[in-house]
Amino acid sequence: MFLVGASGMGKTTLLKLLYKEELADKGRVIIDGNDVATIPGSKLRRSMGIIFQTYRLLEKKNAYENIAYGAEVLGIPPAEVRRRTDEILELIGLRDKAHRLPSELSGGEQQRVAVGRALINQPRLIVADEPTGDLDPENTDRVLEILDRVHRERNATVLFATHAVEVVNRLNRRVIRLQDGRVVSDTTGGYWAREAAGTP
Amino acid sequence: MNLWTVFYRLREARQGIARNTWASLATVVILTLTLLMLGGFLWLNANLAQIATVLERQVHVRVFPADGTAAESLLVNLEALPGVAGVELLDGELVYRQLVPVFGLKTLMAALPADAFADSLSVELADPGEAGPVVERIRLVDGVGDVIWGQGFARVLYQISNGLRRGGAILITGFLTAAFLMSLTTMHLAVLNREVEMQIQRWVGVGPWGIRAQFLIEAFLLGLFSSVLAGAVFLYLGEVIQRAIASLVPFMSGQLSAPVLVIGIVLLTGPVLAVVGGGIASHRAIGTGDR
Repeated sequence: MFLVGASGMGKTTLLKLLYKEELADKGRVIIDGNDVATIPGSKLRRSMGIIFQTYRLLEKKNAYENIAYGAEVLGIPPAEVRRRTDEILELIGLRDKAHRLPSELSGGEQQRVAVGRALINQPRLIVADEPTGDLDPENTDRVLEILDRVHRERNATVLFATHAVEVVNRLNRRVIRLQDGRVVSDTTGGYWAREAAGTP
Repeated sequence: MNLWTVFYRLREARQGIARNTWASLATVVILTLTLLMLGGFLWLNANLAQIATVLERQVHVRVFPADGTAAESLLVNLEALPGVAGVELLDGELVYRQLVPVFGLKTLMAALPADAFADSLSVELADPGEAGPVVERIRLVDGVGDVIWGQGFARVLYQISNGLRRGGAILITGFLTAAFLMSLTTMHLAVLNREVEMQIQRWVGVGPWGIRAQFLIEAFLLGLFSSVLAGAVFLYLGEVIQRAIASLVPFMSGQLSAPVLVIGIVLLTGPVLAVVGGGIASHRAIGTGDR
């Protein structure tokens, strides 16, 4: 599912409300039938994977350790952490670069590591805030492909915020458009692209 | 927090300490010095009463009769004085005889005539702390010539003890504050260094106490290391001091208490001080609410 709109229209704010980085002044935020205001933030985020435009990787840990970190801090047993990390490295296509530090990886590879870290705890909801904003078309495709696979194979909901028309149009998915903090359209398929082109 | 998390946090804490080498080292040095001072101060305090009693026991008042007065004639008057517990006659000839086996009769006679030592009286005080007024009263007794007592010695030692007690308290307070601020600063640096880690932990669902645990464990390890170091140094110094006292002031030998309790307090204080510092530093960065 894409969340689209120009910069400053409220995409990031909406995502922050979902993972309780910000609290709603008015109204309620419901996820899976539960009001997030009643759920402790840590419990809520344990069922989520969060990805940002900037990769925010730990510079002194290699790709493998960066991905495993998300599970280790939650006390997942080491054998299980290894199993999950190996599986994710396969999924993001970085098995051969598992022991490289972030500084030894390209921007696209670093973002794939960040995606891997978001997937380590097998989230049911993945919140991605402009994850391809700094990537070239080739790496953008790879990240989209990974997230699409996660959606199809793991049955996870992926909420992908972007202002880039070309990204939205690569997949035939639900598109929610925000303007001035309000939903102005909710369609499936390249609607936003047609609207942007003046042919709704 | 399960077992794996504890292992993981311990490993991270160890790496964190190594990452902030200089700040960690400074904290350990300051904490160790403070704990040593604290231990020394507590040990001294614990022994002050004992030292005072022993010192007081050393305060003998020796009374020499004036010319033409027999020592025996002063016995009754001195015993009647308030503050006097008892009086013993010390025979001058007896003193002379006691020296014979030490120096040999010939040598002694060559050096001193047989009547070199006058008879004197040894006065036992009811309250050694009130020696001054009693001595003044003794001086006023008819027939008393000279009065000798360990006033100067005892007074100086008391002054030193009291000075140490007061100065030690001020010094300890200052050092405890410095050690606390030092551990606070080290932990604050650790928190700043790990801003990204803390953010990631939050995103994957670690609660505020889980994130804080990292810094508390790190602070605990620093405090524990300082305590053990201070405890070991204190144990060694305690032994050295005991031996020095035994050789310098034999009558104090065996009178000082073993520093076991003090070492226990030192071992406890270090981690507590460091954990409080770590707790405040992490609280400022993390807060407590699980939003």
